[in-house]
Amino acid sequence: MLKTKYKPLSVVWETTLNCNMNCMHCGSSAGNQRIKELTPKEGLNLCNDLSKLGTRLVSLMGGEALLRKDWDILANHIRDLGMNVTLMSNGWLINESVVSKLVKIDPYAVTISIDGGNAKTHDSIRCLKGSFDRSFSSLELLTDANLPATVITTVSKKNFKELPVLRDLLLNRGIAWQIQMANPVGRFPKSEMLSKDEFYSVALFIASTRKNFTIREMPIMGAHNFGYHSKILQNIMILPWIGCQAGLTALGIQSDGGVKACLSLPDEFVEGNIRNRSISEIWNDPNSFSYNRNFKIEDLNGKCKECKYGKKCRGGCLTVSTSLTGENHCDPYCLNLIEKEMITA
Amino acid sequence: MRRRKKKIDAKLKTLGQSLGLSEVDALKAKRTVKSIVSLAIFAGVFAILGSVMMPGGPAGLYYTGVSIKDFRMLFGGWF
Repeated sequence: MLKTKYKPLSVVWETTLNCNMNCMHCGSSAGNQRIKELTPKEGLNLCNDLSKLGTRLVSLMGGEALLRKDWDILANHIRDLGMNVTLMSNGWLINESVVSKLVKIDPYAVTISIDGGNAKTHDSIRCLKGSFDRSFSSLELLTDANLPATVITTVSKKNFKELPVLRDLLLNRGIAWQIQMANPVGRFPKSEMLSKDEFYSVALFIASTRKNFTIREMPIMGAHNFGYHSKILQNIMILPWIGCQAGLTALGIQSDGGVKACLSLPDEFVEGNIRNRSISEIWNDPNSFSYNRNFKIEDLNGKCKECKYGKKCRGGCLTVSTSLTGENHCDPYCLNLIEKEMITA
Repeated sequence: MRRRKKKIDAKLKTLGQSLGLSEVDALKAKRTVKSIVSLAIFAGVFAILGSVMMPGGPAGLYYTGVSIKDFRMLFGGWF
């Protein structure tokens, strides 16, 4: 079997689709577990295979990752194989017992979702009363134990105006804050998606926070769908955007063994299942992930065709691009594009 | 050029209002020579160290939730 020049450095593994929340923006419509999710043995074998492929970071997510009974066995195994592990949780199930397990695991990050500046907004987005308070209690438990905590906020029309309130709650706590945009995938209705102006306001908020607070006070960043190539704002990601990494250095695995370059992509992008072909075979198949691996500048669509950053950028986030336009490589939520429209308006 | 700048500034002020940013804060968020140079330095540091030391490489940072460890690694002395 030929090996590709690519390595799945960062793998996001949906360990179960089972979830105790019913978030309005959930891209995978989580709730019930999938039919035939990977068994504990299959899960451990998958970790072994990822280690051989050169993976450095495995992020365990759901659904709610903590609902999988063997989550700590998998996390420990990943660490024993020399890889890093991140746990992505909604925070509901984090208690002293989970925290003591996490201390032993020594994760790279534990991420908790907080989607509002108050309980009313957060609980209504997540459809679970009490979840806002539980998320903050979880954060306290994590930071008290010196675990690397991150808050992930998914923004939509429902909550973006509460970002300043949430910032006040997170200031000076040594908690990283990642802001990402909800896309019309899974359960999320397009009507609740940010408009381009609202999107730009959030980018402006992140840039302004960077300017007014030190990194120590508020380590904040915009996620992979918050960019790109602004000529007006300072960089709101930590690093310059180098194009969608799905299938190049990033890989997603569904709880039933389905393999996608990025879990937020729709199911048409499933390249195979590890029950039928090993992860190594799927990754090293020259036909896999061709939209990114064999990308040519002619593949750009929409306004990205005319953009001087097109070759490097590859048209932004593939999920936003396909969910909004039906085409690859033309994410319209682009700071550079919005700025051009702003000037010509 | 001046008209273009005025137009951008006016738009930034309006957009900032929806998130409670004052006019001064909205305009302060604009990139400066200093922020462009800083980004170039961070990009350089990342190219040399980050892709080796950060476990997820360039992808990890964006796809899986940034870690406070990423900030510490990249901003080191400033952190």
